[in-house]
Amino acid sequence: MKQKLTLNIMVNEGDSLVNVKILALRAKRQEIRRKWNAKSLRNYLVNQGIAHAFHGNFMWICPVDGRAVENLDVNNLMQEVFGASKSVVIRYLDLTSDEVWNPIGIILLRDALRYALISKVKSSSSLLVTPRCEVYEKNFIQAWRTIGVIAGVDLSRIVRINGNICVCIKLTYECYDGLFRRVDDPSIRVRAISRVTKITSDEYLARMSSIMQKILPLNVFISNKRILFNKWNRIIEKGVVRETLLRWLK
Amino acid sequence: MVEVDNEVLLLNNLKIELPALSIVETARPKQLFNDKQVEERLSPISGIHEYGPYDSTSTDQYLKRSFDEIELFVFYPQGESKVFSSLKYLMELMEYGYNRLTSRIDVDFDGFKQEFRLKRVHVPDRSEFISYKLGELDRVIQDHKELFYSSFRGGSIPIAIVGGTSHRSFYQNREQYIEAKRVFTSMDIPSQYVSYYEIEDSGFGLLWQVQRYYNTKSNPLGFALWNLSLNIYGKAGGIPWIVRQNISPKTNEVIDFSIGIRFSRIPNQRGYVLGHAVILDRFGKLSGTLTTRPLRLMGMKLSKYQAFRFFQDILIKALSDERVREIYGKGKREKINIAIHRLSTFHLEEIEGLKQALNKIREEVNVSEVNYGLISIIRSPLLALFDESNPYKNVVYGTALQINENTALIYTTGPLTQRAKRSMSYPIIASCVNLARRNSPFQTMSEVCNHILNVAALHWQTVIQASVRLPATLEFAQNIAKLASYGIQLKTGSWLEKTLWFL
Repeated sequence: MKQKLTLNIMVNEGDSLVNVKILALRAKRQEIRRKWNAKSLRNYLVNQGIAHAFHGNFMWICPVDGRAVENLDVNNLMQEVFGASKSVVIRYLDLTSDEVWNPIGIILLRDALRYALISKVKSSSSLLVTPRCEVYEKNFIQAWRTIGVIAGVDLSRIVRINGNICVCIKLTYECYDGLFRRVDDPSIRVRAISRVTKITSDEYLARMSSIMQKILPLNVFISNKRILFNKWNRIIEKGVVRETLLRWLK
Repeated sequence: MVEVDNEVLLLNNLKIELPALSIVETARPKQLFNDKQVEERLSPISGIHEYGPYDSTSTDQYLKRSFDEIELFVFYPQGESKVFSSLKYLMELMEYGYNRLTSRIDVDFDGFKQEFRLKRVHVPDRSEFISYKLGELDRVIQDHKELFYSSFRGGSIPIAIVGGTSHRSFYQNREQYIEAKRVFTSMDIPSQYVSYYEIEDSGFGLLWQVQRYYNTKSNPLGFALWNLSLNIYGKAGGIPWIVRQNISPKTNEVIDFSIGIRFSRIPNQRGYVLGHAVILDRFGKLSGTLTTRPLRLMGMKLSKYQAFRFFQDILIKALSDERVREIYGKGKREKINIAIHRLSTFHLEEIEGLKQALNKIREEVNVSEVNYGLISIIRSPLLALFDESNPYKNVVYGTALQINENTALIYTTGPLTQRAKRSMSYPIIASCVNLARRNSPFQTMSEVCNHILNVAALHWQTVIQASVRLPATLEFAQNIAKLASYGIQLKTGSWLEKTLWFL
């Protein structure tokens, strides 16, 4: 007997991430202008359609808005970020290789995904994207007198899969007040969120599905490559249920 | 602050391999309440109700219960009348039992003494309750310490039941819980905190539930009373049930020790952490716990020497257990299988240190083979399965999916049957670093998954089956680490070490 199980991942159906054209600026994190901190710099660059990572005496950057690397105004960028010129070289990286993945690959990909999500929901007033690659639907799934809980999907978990990448999708929740401001009091948040999280898997899937269908298909650009996400659940085709498991399922 | 560990690093490094994606064969752990138990599957409540806790009937001199009497001492904060009255009701329920209100989400409880087959349980009368001023519990205990000692001398195990207005979900009044735990632990008295936490239109905690039950007769209490009793029993040093730690149903090989490791930062001492280990034996019995001296760590990574010292101390502790000495005393057995669990990844230096410690121990105990399995666990929700053939799409407890050559998702929680309606749960991800290598007790992923399920079935803090995600080794070590981060630790050589004092 075959058991049909699905796994909550969306696998890249676009280009592979080999030979990704990346600009390497000879600069360290400590050299950035004092007006920036790590968070504000990332926000600024992502809004400009640029992903970046600092690693090994270099700042690695690439466009994530579909532009070619050659079209980046690097001089202007260097002045804005460092207030000085830096030497620049072009490198071709395999983003999923063991050496590159952790320090550079996953960081650039998260920026790229975040930019793609922001662009995707720009026209939609019903969705909200956070810097942590979470996309929320702006409808309260449950509301009380002054507060309510909204559901979203967390797309920040990027995992390598057979030399390719996939995103593990997870349902996530936020607590907002009537004016759509995040509720900061943890005791109120915990109480409100815990009231909506005890759901069965089919309810979980339904919530996830309603958001995912607004996001997919999703095109993510990273320099000269295009990543494409079409489906968000993968059927486990080899899921043969053995005798012992069958006994449990009775 | 309890260690978050480098779990993110392990998550980032995870690789899924499509050809490897397959369901892993697993066997559901058998919880044993009696050596003559015929039923394959018994829930903790029916097992204890029918046979009593495992140690009450065991004939094994090392597993059988060393006590038959428990004496409860009740403490409450001065001026908290609701806490006082709820405690009074709670003690009545513990003594005389409780009849379930509904048939669906409730259960009978015949009283602590009857259910746990104890000869005597002294439940204090309301006039014997001891009040204390917040912040002055220490002084009150000093005044009453003779009561505890006379209880010990009379052959009873004293347990302090402390009522208060703190609840684990909230930071408010947290100091009450900390004070109770710190004072009683420092005096080697096991304590059980019961909370009454009231909010605008609702409340939390057992005492609040008890109060509501008496006011409205509509709040089912059966499971809560069972859980409380189970906790008290564990804190007295009792073993409610065991799970034999067989590597696979097909072989007689067992995991002789399972060791869980966690770390906690030392408050107000930047850069220093404590390592905590919990050791469970081949029956799942708690063999002991161990906390290191302060370690200066960079990024939660032990150096080779630190790992050597830590693992050596753990192994010495494990092998100094009376029962273990009997089995492994010099030259009596040729092989020892050890499983070591930790969140996040095992660093190379740690593995080197462990190997050194194992070599030293091998010489000392004179066994020719020491096998060790290193299991990294990811607890953060990441991947989840959905069963299309299930009406609620929930995945049944015990399901495991291999995602690469040495890693699997394992459902340590979830519904027990396919049709049961239960809220969705996330699996944990277990990775055996040295699967099928030389000196590894685990040859297949199926063995690793079975082992994790076996250790996770030792959730002696709740009677609800399949509701604790992490293996007991890590779950218990996490509790110890949390308490240590508040400066609460056992004294060296304390008798509490073999009890579940940390629950």
